Amino acid sequence: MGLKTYLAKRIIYTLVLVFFVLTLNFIIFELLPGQASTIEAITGKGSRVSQAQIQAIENQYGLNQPLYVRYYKYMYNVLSLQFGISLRTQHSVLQDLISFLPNTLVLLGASTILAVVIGIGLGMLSAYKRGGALDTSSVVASLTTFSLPTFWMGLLAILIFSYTLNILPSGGNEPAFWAYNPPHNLLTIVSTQIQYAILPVAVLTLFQYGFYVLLTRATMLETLNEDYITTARAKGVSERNVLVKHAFKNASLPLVTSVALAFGGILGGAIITETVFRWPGLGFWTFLSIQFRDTPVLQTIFYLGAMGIIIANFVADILYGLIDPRIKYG
Amino acid sequence: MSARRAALDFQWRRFKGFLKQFGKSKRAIIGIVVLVFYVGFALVAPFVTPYDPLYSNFLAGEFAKPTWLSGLPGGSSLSQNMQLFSTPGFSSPSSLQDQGWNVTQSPAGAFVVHYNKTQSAALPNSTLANTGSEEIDYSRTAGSPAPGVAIITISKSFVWPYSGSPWRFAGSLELLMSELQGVNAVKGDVFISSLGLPLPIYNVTLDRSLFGEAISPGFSLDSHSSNVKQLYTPSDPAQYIFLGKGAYAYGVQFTVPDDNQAVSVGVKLFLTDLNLRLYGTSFGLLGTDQYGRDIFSQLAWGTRVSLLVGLVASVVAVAIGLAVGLVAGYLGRVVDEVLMRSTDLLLVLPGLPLLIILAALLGPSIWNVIAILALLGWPGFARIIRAQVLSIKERSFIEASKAAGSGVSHVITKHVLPNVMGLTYVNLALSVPTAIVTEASLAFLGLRDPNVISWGGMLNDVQGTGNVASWWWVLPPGLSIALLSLSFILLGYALDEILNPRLRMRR
Repeated sequence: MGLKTYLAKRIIYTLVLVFFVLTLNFIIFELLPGQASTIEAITGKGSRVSQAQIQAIENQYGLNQPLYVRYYKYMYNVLSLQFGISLRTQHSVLQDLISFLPNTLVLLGASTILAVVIGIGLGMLSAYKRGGALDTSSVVASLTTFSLPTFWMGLLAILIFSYTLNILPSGGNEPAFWAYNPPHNLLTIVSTQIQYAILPVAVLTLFQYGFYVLLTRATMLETLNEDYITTARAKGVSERNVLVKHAFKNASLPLVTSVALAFGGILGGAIITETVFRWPGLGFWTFLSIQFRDTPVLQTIFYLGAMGIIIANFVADILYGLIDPRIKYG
Repeated sequence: MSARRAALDFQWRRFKGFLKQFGKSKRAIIGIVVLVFYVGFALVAPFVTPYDPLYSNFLAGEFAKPTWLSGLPGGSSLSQNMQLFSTPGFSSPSSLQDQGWNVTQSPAGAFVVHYNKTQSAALPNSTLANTGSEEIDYSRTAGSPAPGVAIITISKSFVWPYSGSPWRFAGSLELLMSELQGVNAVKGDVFISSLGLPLPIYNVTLDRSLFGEAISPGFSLDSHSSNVKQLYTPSDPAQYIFLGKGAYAYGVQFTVPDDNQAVSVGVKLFLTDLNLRLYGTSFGLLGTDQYGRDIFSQLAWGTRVSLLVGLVASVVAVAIGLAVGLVAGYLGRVVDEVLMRSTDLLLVLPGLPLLIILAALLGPSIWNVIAILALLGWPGFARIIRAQVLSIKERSFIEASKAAGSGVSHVITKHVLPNVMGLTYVNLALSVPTAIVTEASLAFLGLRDPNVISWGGMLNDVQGTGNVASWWWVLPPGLSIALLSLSFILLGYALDEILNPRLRMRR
């Protein structure tokens, strides 16, 4: 099978997944709550509604239309990025999304890069010095960060660095007074924002890095036993080059896919981290919407999350096919 | 019969061998010890916690600190709960003396105070409604000299032993006027005297409109009520009145304005439930939350929730995964394709957002959360089992069994299943912490059952009330989640090493 067929297959599979997620989203949000609670959500809880009002709402929102018409309309809206109006802010969901998304991208980007670099570095070193003090301690540390709940790590970080040591802000992404008195000095802006980002980025990094340490360690242990490593050493290649050029290059393949697979978990970590630190990103938006039962927003976030995972998996599949010459595109 | 006996014997020996190896594993021992501790904690929760974790508000002041903090530096100003009487009300002729009330009057002998068994000042639905009350009579016949004003004070002194103020005080008093003759009104003042100086907290003018009516000021005698706060703005009444260790008194004073010698005067008052409660700024082992509920009780009862959610959700999830994996792996072909594609679809969904949405739409009752966790937790495990089954079904003992005429269900239950049980136990142990942490995360995000207190919900309270600096409130629930999860992880790894011998060789 050639690269083209492989690509075509992956694309079709991805489209099927997208279709499935969209349909599930429709089922969860349009069918699961039922007609009565949809009307209640629109009119407000516990208010008395006349039969005529119910009729009017049903007409307006198309609740009395046959299922396939509603399904078609829903598909059309989602694919044309019309997510409706947020019940909480009364803005269009897309407008709110645009204001929250950049903050999440900053947080996710910074922490993922840090976690990958630290995780792979530590993983390589612990595999190289297997059984040593570094190996033991980094494995134990990774397992510990696995079992600690993320939100509690966040609360601890605030307790220690904001309240006890009083060196870092406890939440938000900029001082409150910037809203009416914005600073003009670029250096102040950048340095202050970095201060606000340190704790959330650190917590989300801690949330992720253990996974990479354990994975890198495991794959490195396997490759370090291969014959070509012995050959490289026999040739007199420096230990550093053996480790990086020969062992890690081959061990890095599974890492590519696992980064993509980890995306869903990272999304959950981001929701919690942002909530703890009131970091105004998608996660904090989710939290605010939960309190408000703001279904259009929750629907959008679920849709975006699922799309993110599907796209990440697709990219990983393609990358994997390109990097590893042994893959026979099947 | 003897074959069966032999089989049992074999199982028993195998189990003993397992226990022996289990006992050698350091991880297993640590895991078991932690787990047993928490299971024990969950079991004894009703006995070690005298307070209801959810419905016992105002055990002390809100956000009270742990009492043992008073022994540490900076904790010297913490106070504890105190009340004048545990059984309030005047219910016997000697109550006034027994309870230590001081009665002073001017002019001397103007009032007669005695216990009245039949008349109560309490509201009809009060517990004190039938216990009688203290009667205060004032009378003067027309023509005898009028004193101008006649005053009676009933008060009780007490010693406040703490150098800090209470968080809040709440007085109580029930009053009834049944006779008012010759004067327009009687003034009643409730006060706390602070180091000798009487400070008002409530006053009432008893005129004709209140005649014969039980008066229960209730919350108006509370330092958190607006009328008391107003008297001491900008200070907090409790802090203004209680300045530290020393002698204080609580009482009520009645003033009869008797200055018209020509008329005869008669006043009859009934009085009961005169009491004062002081809410401390420290309470119990771990203090109190934003409603004054005991945090230690919440920690103990939260153990039950975490164990329940973790165990039930993961047992159900593992059972589903086992069934799907066995069927898909053994039957293969169309069944395999359909089941595995569905697990793929479930695996691609974003876990936490989906959980959040389902919990928000279905309502976050604890059983809903368990059901959602169980129904979404199986796909990964189903794939592991399927892979294992694929390799097992090619082995010769399966062939032999098939050749002997065994049906599909017999082969699966008698030959395949026993060979994947090791994997199942390991995954069961490893999926409990996921369920525990996920439930805690949902509760932390506010998706919590209002009728259940869980560790995640406690941390939601900490965050929601902005009390992250209260480390005695932050650390216990978080540490408990971590330790309980870790105990299952350790158990899982230990089981893994024992039940999957190939791993043992590699490590």
